Amino acid sequence: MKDKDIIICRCEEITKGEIIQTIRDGATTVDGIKRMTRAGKGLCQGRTCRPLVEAILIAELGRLPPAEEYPSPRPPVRPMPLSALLAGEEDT
Amino acid sequence: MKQHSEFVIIGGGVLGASLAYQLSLHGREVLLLEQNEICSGTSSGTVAWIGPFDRQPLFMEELAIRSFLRLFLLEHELDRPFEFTVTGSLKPLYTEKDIAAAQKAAEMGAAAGYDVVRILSPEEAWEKEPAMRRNGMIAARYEPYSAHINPFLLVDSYIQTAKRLGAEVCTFTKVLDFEISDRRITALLTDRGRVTADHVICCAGLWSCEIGEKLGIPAPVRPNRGCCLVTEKLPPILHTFASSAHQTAHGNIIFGLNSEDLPAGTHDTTVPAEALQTAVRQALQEFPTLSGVNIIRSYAGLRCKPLDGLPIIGGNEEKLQNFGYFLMHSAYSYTAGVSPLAASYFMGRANAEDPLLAQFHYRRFLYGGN
Repeated sequence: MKDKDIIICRCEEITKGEIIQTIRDGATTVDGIKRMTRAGKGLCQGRTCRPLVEAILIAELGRLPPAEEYPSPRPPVRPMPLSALLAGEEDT
Repeated sequence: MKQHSEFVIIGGGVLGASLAYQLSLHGREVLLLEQNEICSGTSSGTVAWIGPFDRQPLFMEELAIRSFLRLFLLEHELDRPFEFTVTGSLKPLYTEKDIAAAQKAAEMGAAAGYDVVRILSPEEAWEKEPAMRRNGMIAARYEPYSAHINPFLLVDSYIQTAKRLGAEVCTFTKVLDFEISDRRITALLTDRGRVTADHVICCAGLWSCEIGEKLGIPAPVRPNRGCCLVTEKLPPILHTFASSAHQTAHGNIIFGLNSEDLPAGTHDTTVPAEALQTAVRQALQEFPTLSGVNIIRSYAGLRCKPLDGLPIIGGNEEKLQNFGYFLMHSAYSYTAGVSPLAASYFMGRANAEDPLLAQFHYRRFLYGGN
């Protein structure tokens, strides 16, 4: 199997080759790669692949990426049924 | 970063990217400066619904239709695809008043030459969208042409094509200040150096307020927050843009809800708990059968709303001859149709009598507006 075909984001099946192409197109942050490739948009929301994407980014850029704020977490912190997001209201 | 460019565009969202493409297409020298990554502001916090109908007033409906049609051409013009998918839209109607309003909107489209909006019975509506709530709906408004795109891929495609045509794009480059002489911007001072320019166009969305303050040409836009919910990937459940929800090519359903006006200067895209709950409540009301579906993420989008709702092209040319804005909201529905007009204007080639330019030019804010 070629290096570029290695799957980095398992949830969305994004390969190393796609990530590297996105960096060559101009993405310089993990979030930028996420927007263009979907790596990190799957069920685990990047918990598995983020460190791997970061490593590829550093290897491609030959330097640390620009200082970016870690994106503020958005609810829910893990997958949750739509109805469960209102569950608290039933108690009051 | 080059030290001089004929055109400098501030902002790499859909407006800046499409303008960079249009200008490059005409062989003009373009430098685009983006403070973050491409498509990371308002252009990223969207459901990217292309709605060619139900726009007011009539000239905006015609413009939305023109933009929609141009997307078919852009699929061929641009270097990369952007998941352009026509799905139609379905909107539930609960009262006679809703039906009357929908009829009026249908007539508006017909006046523009597109007799496509239909009022359906509940049974016809459920045939199209079985997941939609059953009780309470007395009719539904349907048209077959609403579409969605992958917003990141569209903006990226504009950018990559513009680069191939000669544009330079610099990300993580923030404009800090301007050098002005003789009513012209002579240079922009960025955190990556200084660049001189013949023409400066601000496509910075809500950040235009900060730019406008530096130049003494206020940007008449305000933030309005919407909230989006994203589900896990699902087998095909939704087939149209059904009220607040649609299912993307990848299987996720996205709900786009809420519309909260926020104070100028807000750039906060976190999702407050109350906003999330309001969005969830509405999503459940419209799609009770989806209550067990997992939400994997929420995100907020800050719409960049012009004070009178209409696109803004140009600036205060008496104060600064070579500076203008290019701003609008619902940009994904209009950019394809408006950016060629904006490019013509900034190249000095627009028809001075163009009625759309008369409606959109910034000077309307100088003389007290509508």
